Amino acid sequence: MPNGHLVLSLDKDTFEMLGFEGRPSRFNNRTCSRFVVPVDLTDSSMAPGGRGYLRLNKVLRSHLNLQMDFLISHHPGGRATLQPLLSRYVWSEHRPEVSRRSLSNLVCPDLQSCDPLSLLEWLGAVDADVSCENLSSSFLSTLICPEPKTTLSQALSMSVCGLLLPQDVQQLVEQLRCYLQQTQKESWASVTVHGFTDSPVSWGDHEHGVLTGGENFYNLLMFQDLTYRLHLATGAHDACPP
Amino acid sequence: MCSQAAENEMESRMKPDGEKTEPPGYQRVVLKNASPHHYLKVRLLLEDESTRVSAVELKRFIISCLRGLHGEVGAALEVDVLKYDEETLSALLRVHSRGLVKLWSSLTLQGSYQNQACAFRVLQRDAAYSRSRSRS
Repeated sequence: MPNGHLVLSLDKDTFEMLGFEGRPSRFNNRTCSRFVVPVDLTDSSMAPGGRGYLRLNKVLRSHLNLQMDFLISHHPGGRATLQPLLSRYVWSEHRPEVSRRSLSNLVCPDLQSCDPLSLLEWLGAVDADVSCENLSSSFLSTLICPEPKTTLSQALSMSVCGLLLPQDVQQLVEQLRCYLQQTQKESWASVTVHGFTDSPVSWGDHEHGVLTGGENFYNLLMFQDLTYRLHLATGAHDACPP
Repeated sequence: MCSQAAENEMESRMKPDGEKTEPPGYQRVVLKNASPHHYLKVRLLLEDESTRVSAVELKRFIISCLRGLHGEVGAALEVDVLKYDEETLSALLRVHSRGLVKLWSSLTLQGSYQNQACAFRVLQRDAAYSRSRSRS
């Protein structure tokens, strides 16, 4: 994590073999089968060659026969720093998948006054290309756009899928704000960022549980007059977002 | 099966900037377990893979699954087929949160469709936001 902490989410057997100090997960269902081990890598004993470093290195290498894939992302120009590490392993480069879709005659609710749950449902329906133009008596689906609604002549939906850095998202938001200030009245932009549903942490360093859905996302809806709505969502057993 | 599946926590904030005449309009709303609907991404697996199932037939089959396990109360549940792909037999369903467990259980326990073995695979579940892609 950015604060230099390594968080391991381990099952009971692995936790006992590791022998590190940890605490039971909040998401244990009756039986205590999962443990969370936070390791502070900024601690002085965790410096290469230090006591804590040697111990962690030894147990991870010899006691646990773990093999895993890592997703690594770097800042612009950080490739050279990673090169010595990558040269020792088999690796491949993945670029974010970008897809774009032009939407026309999009039925849109009043975004300023719409309640958050209906708004997110509508945004999700647009993203998933689900039609909201149903009648309440329709057999297949009764999903309708929340009232009051207007029709937008055109809109653009884009999605980027990959391991993105917070800086990338920030840059995107700043560019969208610049764009909104240059455009005509009543424009808006919405950015939804999904975290991994099975991530062991979500907001801050709070533990995140998958349960059955693993909600872990936020949505920023920006208007032209610099007002915004920020929606943060996570599972109900997680800690409340900041 | 999770009986407390209807969890979602969400927060909404509004902040008009640059309004100096008014006190800063900043509103924070925290909603817990407030999601009225749940979304399920399911795929129907059939023994005979060449069988075609239309969206209307799928919806009728889902209602019959609900009726089989939960009777008329189950059949009266509002289930919406938001999206359906006839090629892969996968569908995005929306159900009232209180009916999620009934729907999920009746889909899981259904074993036959028109005299052939079948199974519903629930690929993804969401409380707040239906997503088109599944992530690991």
